[in-house]
Amino acid sequence: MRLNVNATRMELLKLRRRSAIATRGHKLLKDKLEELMRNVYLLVDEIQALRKEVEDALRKAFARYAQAVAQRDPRVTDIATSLPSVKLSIEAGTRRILNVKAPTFKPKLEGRIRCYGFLETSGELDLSLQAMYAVLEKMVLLAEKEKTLELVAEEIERTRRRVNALEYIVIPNITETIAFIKLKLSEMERGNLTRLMRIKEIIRG
Amino acid sequence: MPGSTEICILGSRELTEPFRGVGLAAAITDADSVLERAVELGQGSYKIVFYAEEYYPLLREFLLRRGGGVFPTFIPIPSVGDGERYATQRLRELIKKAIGVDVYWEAK
Repeated sequence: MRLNVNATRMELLKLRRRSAIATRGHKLLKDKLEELMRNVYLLVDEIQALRKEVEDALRKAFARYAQAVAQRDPRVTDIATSLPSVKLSIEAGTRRILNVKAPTFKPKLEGRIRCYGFLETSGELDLSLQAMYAVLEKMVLLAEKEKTLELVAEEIERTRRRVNALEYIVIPNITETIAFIKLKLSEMERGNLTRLMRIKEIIRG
Repeated sequence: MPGSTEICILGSRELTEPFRGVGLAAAITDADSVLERAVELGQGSYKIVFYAEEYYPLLREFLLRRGGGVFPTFIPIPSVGDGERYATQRLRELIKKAIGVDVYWEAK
C-alpha cells in the first residue's frame, strides 16, 4: 500500500533514508531472531537432560517418603519434617540475553537435614530427605533454565512479529511509494521540458 | 509458613511435607484453592515457586497473564503418584511457540 505523502524531492529523500533504516533494522532483527533460536536449541538440550534427572530423583524420593510414612506413625514423620535445621537461601539476580532479562539463581544450603530423633522415625525418612536434599540444587538450576526458555520464547514471538511487519508491510510500502514519487517526478520533468520547448517555439515564431 | 523465604512448594500435603523437611517453605493447597494461593505467592517475596504439575491446567491462565515477570518463577514439578505429565506438555508448548516446531523429543 502506497504511503500518503506528497510527491516531492524532499519526501523522496526522506523515504530513501527511512528505507535504509528499515532494511538495516530488518537485518539486525533477523540476526537477533536467529541468535535467540540458537539459544532455544541449547536450552532445550539442557532442560531435557536436567528435567529427566530431577523428575527421576523426585519420584524415588517421594516413594521413599511414602514408605517412611507407612512404616511409622504419620504424625511422627510430620513432626520430624516440620522444623528443619537446613537453611536454604538463593542469591537471585538477572542477566541479559539479547535484551531478554533472564533470572539467575545461586542456591546456598546450610545446616544438617537430620534434626530429629532416630528412635521413632524410619530409615527411609533419612534416605528420602537425603535424596531430596541432593536434588535441590538441580531443581533451582532447572527453574533458572525453564524461566529463561519461557522469556526467550516470548521475545522470539515479539521479534518475529517485528521482522514480519518490516518485511511484509513497512519495506514494501516505502519501496512502492519511492517508485511512485520517482515516476511522478520524471513525469513532471517531462512536462516542464515540453512546456519549455513550446515556449521557445512561440518566442521564435 | 516456616522454611525458606525464597523458595516455596505449592501442592498437596504429601508433596510439600518432604520438601519442608529440607528447608523449603510449604504452601499446602488443593484444586479448589490453588489459584488463590498462587496469586498470593506471586505477590510475595519468593524467588521460586515449585508447584505440583497436576495443577498446571488450573494455573495456566494465571501464568500466561503473569507473562514476562521474572520473580517469582513458577516451575512445575512431578506430583506424587502417576498422572498427566503437564510439565513436559508446558515445555513443548513453549518450544513450539518459540521456533514453530516441537523439537523436545527430537533434540536428543
